[in-house]
Parts: sequence; structure tokens; C-alpha cells
Amino acid sequence: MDDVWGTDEETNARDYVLMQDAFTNTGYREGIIAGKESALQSGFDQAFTEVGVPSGRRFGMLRGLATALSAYLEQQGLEEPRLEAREIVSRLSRMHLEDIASPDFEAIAHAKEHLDNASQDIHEQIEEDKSIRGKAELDVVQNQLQGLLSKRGLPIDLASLISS
Amino acid sequence: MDYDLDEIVNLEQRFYDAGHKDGFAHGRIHGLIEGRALGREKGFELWEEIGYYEGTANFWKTVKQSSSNDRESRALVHANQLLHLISRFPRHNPTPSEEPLSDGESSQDSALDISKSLAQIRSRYRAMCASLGVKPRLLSTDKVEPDQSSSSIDAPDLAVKTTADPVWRVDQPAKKPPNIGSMSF
Repeated sequence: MDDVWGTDEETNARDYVLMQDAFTNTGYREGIIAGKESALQSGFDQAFTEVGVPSGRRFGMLRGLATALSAYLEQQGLEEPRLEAREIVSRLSRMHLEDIASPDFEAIAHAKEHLDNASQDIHEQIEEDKSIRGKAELDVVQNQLQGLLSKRGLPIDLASLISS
Repeated sequence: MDYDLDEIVNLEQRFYDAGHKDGFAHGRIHGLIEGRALGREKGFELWEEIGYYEGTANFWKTVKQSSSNDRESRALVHANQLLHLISRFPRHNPTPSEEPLSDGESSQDSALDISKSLAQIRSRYRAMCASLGVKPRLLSTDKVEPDQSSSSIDAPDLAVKTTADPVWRVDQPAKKPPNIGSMSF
């Protein structure tokens, strides 16, 4: 048959490519699902241990200590330092995980591979800056709390508690 | 042209396998990323609470160290017990995963009943607060615990696994349908 698309040989070549694409794509799609499921749990465990637990523990320790210090100062009737402790407590209560832990840079890098456009980059830059600022803020609050503890003569070393 | 049927089927399989291999590698990246997003969240949430108790206990332990008052020395006992319980609380997810982390102790630790030990920590914390006369922290996550936890505070069998599954598993089947749609490949 003398069809408009060309000779039989060209048709065969086209069919071959279509067949190749179809099977390759099906394999790819099913491979993605299988690969994803194979990695979810180890990703979870990794970030749980390396990111979630240490940053949560540090944050919680500071909050618990600051709150206890505030209650203690109230019992002692020391109003002015108590207000300073309260300020630390409320500063901490406004912070969240994304302010404290580094973002998942690998995830950001991979998202960049998918969406390679400038506006996305700017958005990520903002997120990075925000997170670095947050960590700096947690350092500031920790130092403030350490100063207050030392001023009251309480022998608590926050840095060594956190790293223990 | 002659077609060898075996050859065609074989070709189809080869194309499928090549696609599957690439897809699998890509899928692993997404699985790791999504798993990490969930894991950091969960680890943070859990240890923010434990860390809070740890910080509180350390503070009162320091303050009440030299106290001779009977009530206050009871608070000190509670604080020390609380710190002991916390020191045994796992800092990683004890999942018997297909690819265990290299520390090799996951199977041993998975025997630890996390929910039971968390209940012990919470009730010890509340006991400490009561003996100090300070208000305990109210948790949004504070679920009603079976009250037997308080009676078994001193039970030494912390490592004995009971009925509840202590492990956080990423719930793969349940998550599958929404995630496939939301992944941007």
C-alpha cells in the first residue's frame, strides 16, 4: 500500500520505536514505584536518627530548662530574672523544625533537576536563608539561657547536656 | 519480513527491564526524600517531648541536689529515675528494615517497647512535677494512656516486648495512591 507516511520499511521502523517506547515507559513507571518503596523506610530511619532526634532533643531540652527555670524563679520570688526566662520560653515556642534543622539539600538539588527554572531557585534560596537564620536564633537563645543560668549560680552546662 | 516471536518477546522484556532499571534508580531517590521528610518530622516530634522532660529533670536535679527537705528529696529521686528512663529511650527508629542501618543493633532494640517506655517517662515526669509543686506541661499529643502504666513504673522488664508494635513503619500501601499522583517525575 502506498500510504502517505512512506514505505513499509519506514512504518516498521516507526512501529519498532513505538514498541520500544511503550515497553521502556511501562518499565520506568513500574520501576519508579518499586524503587520508591524500596527506599522509603531507610530514608525515614536515616532522617529520624540524624536530623529529627538531635534537633528535637536540643530544642526540647532548651524549652524544658527554660520553663523549669521560670517556675523556679517564680517560687523564689525573683520577678525580673523570671521575666527574662519567660521571654526565652516564648521565643522558643515560636520556633519550628524548619527553623532549627537544615533543609534536605539533596531533595532541593533533585527538585532543581526536575524544575530547572529561576523562580524556583529564588524560592529555595529564601528557604535556605530562613533556615540558617533560625539555627543562628537557636544559638542566640541558648546563649541567653546559659547566661541566665550562670547568673543565678546554677551549674548547668547546656552545650555539654545537649551533646551528651 | 520474517519475525521470530521469541526474539520479539525478548526485545519487549529488554526494553521493559531497561526502563525499570532507570525508573527504579529514580524511584529510590524519591523514596529516600519522602522517607526523610517523614522521618525528621517524627523524630523531632518525639524527642522534642523527651528532651523537654530531660531538660526539666536536669534543671530540678541541679537545684534540689543539696536539699534536705523530705518532699524535695523525693523530687530528686523522681528526677534521677526520669533521667535514667530517658537514657534508655532509643534515639533511632528501631525498625527491622530491609536495609538496616550499619549499627547492627536494630534487631535487639526493636524489642524495646517504645510506647510502654514513653508512658513510663510521662508518668514519671508528672510525678516529679507533683512533688515539686509545678504544673506539668500540657501536650497536644497527650493521649489517654492505659492507667496501668503508673503501677508498673519500677518494672525492670523495659526491654521485654509486649503486644503493641513499637516501630514506626512508613505505611507504604496506604500512602501509595496519593503519592504517585503528587510525585513530579
